[in-house]
Amino acid sequence: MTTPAVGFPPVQSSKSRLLVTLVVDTSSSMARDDAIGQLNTALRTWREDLHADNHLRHITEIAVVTFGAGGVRVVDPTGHERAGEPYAPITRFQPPTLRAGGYSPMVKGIKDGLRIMDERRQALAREGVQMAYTPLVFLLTDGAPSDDQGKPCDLWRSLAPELRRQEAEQGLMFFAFGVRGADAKVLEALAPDKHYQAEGTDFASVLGAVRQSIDRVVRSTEGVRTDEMASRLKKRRSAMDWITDHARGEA
Amino acid sequence: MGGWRVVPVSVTGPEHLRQGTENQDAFAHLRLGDLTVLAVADGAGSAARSATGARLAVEAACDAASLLDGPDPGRSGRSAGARRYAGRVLGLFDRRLDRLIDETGGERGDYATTLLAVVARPPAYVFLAVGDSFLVVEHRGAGPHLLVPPDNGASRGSTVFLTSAGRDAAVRCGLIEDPEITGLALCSDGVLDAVLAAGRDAGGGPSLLAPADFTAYLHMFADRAARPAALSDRLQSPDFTASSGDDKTMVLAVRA
Repeated sequence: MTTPAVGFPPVQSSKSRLLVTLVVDTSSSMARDDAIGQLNTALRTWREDLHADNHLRHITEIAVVTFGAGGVRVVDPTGHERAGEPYAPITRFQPPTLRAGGYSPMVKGIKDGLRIMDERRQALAREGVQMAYTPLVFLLTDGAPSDDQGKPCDLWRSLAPELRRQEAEQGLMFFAFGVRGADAKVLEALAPDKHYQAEGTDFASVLGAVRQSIDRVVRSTEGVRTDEMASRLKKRRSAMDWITDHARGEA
Repeated sequence: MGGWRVVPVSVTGPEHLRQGTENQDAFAHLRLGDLTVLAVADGAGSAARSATGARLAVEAACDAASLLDGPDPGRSGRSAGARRYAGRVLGLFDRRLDRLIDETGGERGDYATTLLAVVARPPAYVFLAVGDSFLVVEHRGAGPHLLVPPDNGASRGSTVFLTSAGRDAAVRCGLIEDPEITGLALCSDGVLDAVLAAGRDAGGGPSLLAPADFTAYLHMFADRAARPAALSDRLQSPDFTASSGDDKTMVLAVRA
């Protein structure tokens, strides 16, 4: 609760949330051209940007799942080297310094991201806390999925329809964003109308697109709750249009 | 207003300010003999003409109250009166909306709005609610109580509006008789996050409640020197606007 104006009680804590889940590639390819360093810098800037938004700061919780170094990991979002809660409010979100290494078990990373999001949503529901907006899941990658042994795998082909089903039935939005080296075919299959590929290793642009997507969802649906939002979004410009605008600097 | 001091405040939400759109909430209050009518309506953000719908709703709530004016009919009569009042409000709203659509076009859904109305004749209070606005009453000695909680339908995405097909099944109306009620607060859902707390119902399930310090909103305006502008400033303060981008309306009534 925040400090009250004189005579009035303090504002109560939020009873609705926006869940944002980042599923981040930390495989060995991310060491090339110090892409991982650019990602770490971009994450810190992104955090400051979100923190500066009053409304987002009030309602948003963030989780980070990595695939690469150490396999698939649900990172402590408060920046501590311990297993904490998967989600943290923006006020406690301290992007961990990620390191590159290992293979690229992308599909398992995405599935773990969906799992923790669903668990968090259910836990919040038990506490009487509802979703303010449709939960958002963002894939950030510079490559293509592999299995645990580093061999290319095509499990993403069966993941794509599962994502569509969950978007329709569970009320979530999945975005697939990449930098140079990302497999465009995979990005498009996983998020047909919500994928974007930046030039080079410009993770600042990618995180900018993430922020833009969050903003568009929140701003375009203010006062409209999640069920109604789904039908409204169909009538609006697609998320891809938003991202394209951002990439062109027109948004 | 005899017997009650009414302080109505409605501010445009930060999202509507950003978009340059109007406040889609509406409120009204009226004294009719020894009745005091209070109403708040929250136009749906997704509906093109919802501000007009909200205005129609609060006007219907006030105009229908004449039904309850006159000699006290006794308890059974008052209970029946609550149902008849609800029917009259909905009928007036529907007829006026149909006429407006005939004259200016649009569809019912374009005028989507919630409605919360109270007709007070202490110790009796008739209430009518459709949708997610909510009513808190201040009880002498027992503090604030969330008497009419926000109704979000089966899920938060399915709020029922006055214009919804399933509206009649979602109408909540009734009669409260309590001589110890000293204050009323009718609120649009834009202030929900800021003023209500999360709690547990009798079965242990999650529910909303009016926290003890909600009393301060009403106690402040028991003092006639208190300025309504102070509440307006509060609803536009950074922590309130952070809690919701929606329009925010509170109609407070304190026994004078």
